[in-house]
Amino acid sequence: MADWLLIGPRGSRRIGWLQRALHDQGAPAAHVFDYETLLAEPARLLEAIAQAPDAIVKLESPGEAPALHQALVRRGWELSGAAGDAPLPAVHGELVHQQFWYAGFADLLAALPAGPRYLNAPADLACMSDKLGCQQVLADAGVAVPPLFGAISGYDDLRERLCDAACERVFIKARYGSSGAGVLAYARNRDGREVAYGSAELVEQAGRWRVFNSLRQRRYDRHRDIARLVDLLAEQGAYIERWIPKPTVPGSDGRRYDVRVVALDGQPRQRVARMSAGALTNLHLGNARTQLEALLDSDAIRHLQAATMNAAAAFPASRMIGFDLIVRGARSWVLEANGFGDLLLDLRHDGRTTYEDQALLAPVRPAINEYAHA
Amino acid sequence: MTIGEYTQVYRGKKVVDFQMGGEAVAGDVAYRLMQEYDSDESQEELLANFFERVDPASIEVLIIGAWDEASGEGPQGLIDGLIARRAELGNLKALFVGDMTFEDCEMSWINQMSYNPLLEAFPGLESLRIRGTSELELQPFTHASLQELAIESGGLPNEIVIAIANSTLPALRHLELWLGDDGYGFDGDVAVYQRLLSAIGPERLQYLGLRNAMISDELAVWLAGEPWLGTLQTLDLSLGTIGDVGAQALCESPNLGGLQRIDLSHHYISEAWQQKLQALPCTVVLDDPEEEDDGDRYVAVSE
Repeated sequence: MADWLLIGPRGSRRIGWLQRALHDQGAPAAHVFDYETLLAEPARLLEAIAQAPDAIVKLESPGEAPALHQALVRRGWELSGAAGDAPLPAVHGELVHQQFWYAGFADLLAALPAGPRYLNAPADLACMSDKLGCQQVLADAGVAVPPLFGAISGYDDLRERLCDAACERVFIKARYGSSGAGVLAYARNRDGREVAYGSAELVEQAGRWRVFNSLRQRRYDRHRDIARLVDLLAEQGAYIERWIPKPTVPGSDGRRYDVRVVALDGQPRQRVARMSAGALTNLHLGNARTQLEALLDSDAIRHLQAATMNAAAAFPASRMIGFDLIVRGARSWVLEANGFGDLLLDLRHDGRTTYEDQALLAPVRPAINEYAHA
Repeated sequence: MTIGEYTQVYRGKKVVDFQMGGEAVAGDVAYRLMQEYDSDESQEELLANFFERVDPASIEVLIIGAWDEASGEGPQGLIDGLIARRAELGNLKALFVGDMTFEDCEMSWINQMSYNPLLEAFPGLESLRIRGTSELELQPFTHASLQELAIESGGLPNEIVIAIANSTLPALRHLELWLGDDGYGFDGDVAVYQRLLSAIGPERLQYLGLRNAMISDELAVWLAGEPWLGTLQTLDLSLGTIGDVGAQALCESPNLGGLQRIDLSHHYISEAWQQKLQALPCTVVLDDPEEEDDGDRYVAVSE
C-alpha cells in the first residue's frame, strides 16, 4: 500500500475523504501539507517530501478556500506586472480576476520540485486548469472535442470569429473557471437576433457592471446585456467552441444530460449521467444525476469507455482524471478534463468510490500491458 | 421560456428518431427524421435513406425534427422529397415539421417555407403541424381532408391568419394557432381572429386553440360572447397571458353550452377567479400560474 502526501487548502474536505478511505483500508494516514504554507514558505514542502520520499503526492483542488483564492489572484496579478489597483477580494459568487488566479496557481505548480511521484503531474494540472489549453491538448491527441474557435478578447471579437467560422451556435466558456461558472450558450441568426443561456448573472453596482455565478439558469436576448456579459467574461479569459446539443433524457420533461467518467491509471471507473433542465449541466448547479445504464445501450457504453481511455492517454503523467463528455449514439465529445475530478461522493464502481479506489493504488502506476492480462 | 422538449408521443404513437444510417424499429411508431449540426448528408439523402429502411406505404405519421442549420435553411429538401414520393406515401395522414428544441434552434428562428405545394400533393393529409413561422409562406388553399391544422409560433404574422381565413377546409375540426409576442413578429389583434373564425365557420370545430397569445384577455372576452363557443369541445388559451379580465368573461359567459374543457395553463389569474373557474361545469386547466413582472406579462414561448 502506498504512502501519501496530500497538498490542499487548509481544512479541505477533499483531504478528509481520502483520509477516511485510507483509514478504512487500514492504511496509515496521509501526510498533509497546505497550499497556504506552500505560498508563504515553499521550502517547507521539501522537508515534507523528504520525510515521505516514496509517497504518492496528490495536489487537491485549491477551491472552496476564499483566502487562498485571493492569495493566488494577488500572486498572479503581481506576476502580470501589477498594473493598476491591486485586485480586491471577490464578493461571494462573483466571477472576476480569473486570469490572475490562473497565473498565480500555474506559477505555484511550476515551482514544485520535479522528484516526487505525483498522482497527477503539476504541469498536467496547470494544463487542465486552462480549459482552452486542455481542449487543445486533447484535440492534438486525436480525442474528439467540440470544434474549438479559440480565445476571444470581447464581444466584437466573438462576432468576428463566428463569421470566420460560419458558425452560429457556440458555448462561450471561461478559460480558468471552475464547474459551470461563466459558461454561456450563445446563438445568433441571420437577422442579427441573438440569445445566450447560462447561470451568469449580470449586476450593476455603483455604475459598474459585474458578473456573478447564480444558481438559476437565465436567458438573455438583449444585445446590450449579451455584449456586456461577453466582455466581462473575455476580460478574464474566455474561449468559444461549437455548441453541441446534449441528448435528452427520455420521459423527463426535456431534461438533458452529459456524462462524467473518472479515469484511474487510464482505465474508466466511476461514471454518472448529470441531468439538467437547460443547456448547461453541472452538479454544482443543483442538477440531478442518474444511472448511465438507463440512458445508454451497451454499444454506447463501450464507446464511452474507449473515448475515456483515449482521453486519459493524452495525459500519461496523470493517474486520476475526471472527464465530462457528451455521448450521442456512437459519437462522443470530451467537454472537459478535470485533474481534481474525483469529488463524486457515493458514486461507486466495482463497489468502490473514487477515494476508495485511490486508497488502493499501487505507489507506481502499472504498465499498460499489465491491464491487458488483468 | 422556450421549447425544451421533443415530442415523445405523436398521434398516439411512440416517437423514434431516425438519423442517416439508421434502422427501422419494430412496432407501430412515429419516426422523427433528425440531422446533427454537422451532418454530411443532404436532406434528400436522409429521406432516401429513410425510405430504404422504412416502406413509404407503411408510413401514416411522420415528424421532421431538427435539420442542419435550421436557422439558416428551410426543410425544402425533405418536403420536396416527400412530394416526389407522394405516390408511395398514400397512407401519410399526419405530418409535423419542426419538432426541435431551443438547443437545436430558437423557435422563432426556425426557417420554414411555402406549404402550398405539400398540401396540394397530399390531398389525403389529415393533420399538419408546423413549428416556427420565419419564412413561412401560405397562400389560401382548398383541402378536403385536413382535419387538424396547427401553427406554433413565437410571433404569428397576420398574413398567415388571413390565408387560413381565405382557405376552404371542409374537414377542419382542430385549429391551433400560437400567436406569440409582437417583439417576435405578432402583428395581429382580436379583429383579425374574429374575421378568421367567422370565415371558416366555427360551429364545425371541436378544438380551438389560440395559444401563446399576448392578447389572451381580449380573446377570452370576445370568445365568451360568441354563441358558438359551446359547440366546441375544447377551448385552449394556454401558454398566454390571460388574467382576471379573461377569467371573468369566461365565468360569466352564457355560451359555454357543451364545452368540455378550457385550458388556461400559464396564466395570470388571481386565486379568487381561479376558484370561480373551477366551479364551472367543464374542466378548467389552470396549471403553471405566472406572476406579473413589474406589471408585465409574457407569453410562454416568446422566442
